[in-house]
Formats: sequence, structure tokens, C-alpha cells
Amino acid sequence: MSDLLTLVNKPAGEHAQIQHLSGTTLPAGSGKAAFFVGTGIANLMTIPHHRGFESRTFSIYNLLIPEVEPSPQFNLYAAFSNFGYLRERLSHSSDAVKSVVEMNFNIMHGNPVFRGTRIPIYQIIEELADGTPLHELEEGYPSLSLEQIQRGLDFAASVVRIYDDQLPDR
Amino acid sequence: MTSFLIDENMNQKAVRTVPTQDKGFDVLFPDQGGYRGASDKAVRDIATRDHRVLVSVERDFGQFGLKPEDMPDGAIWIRPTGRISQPNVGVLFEGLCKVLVQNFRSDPYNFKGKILEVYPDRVDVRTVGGGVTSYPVPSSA
Repeated sequence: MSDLLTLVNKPAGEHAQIQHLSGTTLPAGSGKAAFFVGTGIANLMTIPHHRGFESRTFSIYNLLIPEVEPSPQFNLYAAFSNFGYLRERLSHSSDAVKSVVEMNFNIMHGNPVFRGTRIPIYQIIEELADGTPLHELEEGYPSLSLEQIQRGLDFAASVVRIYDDQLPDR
Repeated sequence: MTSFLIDENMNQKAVRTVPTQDKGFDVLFPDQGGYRGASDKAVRDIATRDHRVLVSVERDFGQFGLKPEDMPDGAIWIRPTGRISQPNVGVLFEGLCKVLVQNFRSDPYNFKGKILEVYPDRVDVRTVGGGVTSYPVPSSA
């Protein structure tokens, strides 16, 4: 399985999660080092959401990304964001997806954007959800092509699947 | 003339549907200003350099606690209560222009040291020191 992270949630109300990490390697560009976390790490958390895990993941990234502008407000925000999780997912995406999606703390505060633009992928999803036709998206966001939009949506789709290997690298 | 710098995340079609020039606003888009794909800081710097008011729908600017004093030439956050989409952004941008025209037509608006937050029903003007003044969005210009 290409994804090295598994989260198991108990039914709502029990507020427990088990996280299992194995052989995790930081994505290129986030630092010059790699780290290894042995298998079998299980952690029972009482936080009723997965943000506890994200916070830990980010702390590792944060240490290895010195170019991040120091800001108390930023660090507080990032510590509770999905940045680490999404960056991990992006690192395991296909080359086609990675060629059109980037995550950079200095662009839109690290939200996944279409490469070479300041347009967040989540915003295109919201446009589509609100009924904006694809051809009008190209008019509204002239930086984007239809193919770029589709690749961005591929990435978005990948983060709402529970298994990476359901749809292997394309 | 008030000059806006439209962030790349703004739906340009929504902005272009508003007759900004008729209302006395000069609008700069990313391709014209050369800030396509620029960093957050670079966009703010370009707005400051060119004395333009940054207009963005980016939700996180507010979350990062940017204060009016961080934006010497002012900034405008478009804040849809629902999804960020062409119709919602268009309505809010038009509402912003209406508020500016109605309230500041005879007195060219000075954005220095101010952050405007545009909601469907009002525009909140935040000033250095924490003051907030709300202007309701008129039903017609």
C-alpha cells in the first residue's frame, strides 16, 4: 500500500483514534532529511477529531521548513491545519497531478493551489458545487485550463478515498 | 480614482460584470500586474508599491490576524457566507462598490490603514486601533 498512514476511527461518540505509521518519508522539498517511524505505533487519543494527529505531523514539517515566515498567528493556525496530511497525500499522487498542484506556505498560506497560480483547489470545488459551469471557470480564472482543473479535482478526489490503492498511480 | 488590485483567487468574470470604471474605480488584474502565482507577501508588496487596495477572497488572511497597519494602502476581504463562487463573489463585489459610491461619492475614499470586510448585508471597515464601522449594503446604487 503506497499510503503509509492508516487512521481507524471508532464510531462517533467514542472519540478514539488509532494511528499507525510505518516507514514514512518526508516529501521532497520539505527538508533534506528523512525519518523513520517504526511499525506498530499505536496511540489512543481522546480528542474527538483527527486534528491531534495533524498537529504532530505539522510539527515535523515545521522544523524542516526554515523558510516559513515566523509568525505566532501563522504557527498557531498551521498547527491546527491539514497541511501535513495534504502534503503527504500530494507526495503520493501521480506525476500528472503533482505537475499541476503545489503546496507552498508562502502561497495562499499553504493551501493546495494550481501550480503557478494563487487559485486554491478548494475554491474550484466550491465553484462547481455552486453550479458554475466548467467553461465559465476558464473565463473566471484565465490562469487555468480545463486539463489543469481536472487534475486538481483528481487530487481532491484522492483525499476523500480511504485507500490509495483503489486507484493506483495513473 | 480608487485603484484596486484584484487577487488571482478572485473570479475575474464576477469582477468584470460590475461596471467599476463607471463608478470611478480602476481595477488591475493579475495578468496586467504580473503577479500571477506570486507569493502572499509579493502580492501585498505590489499593492503597497503601486498604492492599490488589495481585493481578495482568501479566507486565511483574516485567520492570520492581519491588521489594518499591516496593509498601508488598505485591503478588502470578500467574505461570502456560503461557498466562494462566481455568483456569490459577484454579488459581494457589487455590494462593495455600492457602499463606496453611496457613502463616499463626494469624498474620495481613503483606504489607508483600513481593512474592509465585505459580507452579503454589510461592509465592516476596520481601522488601526481596533475600531469597526459597519455600512449596510444598499439595495440599489
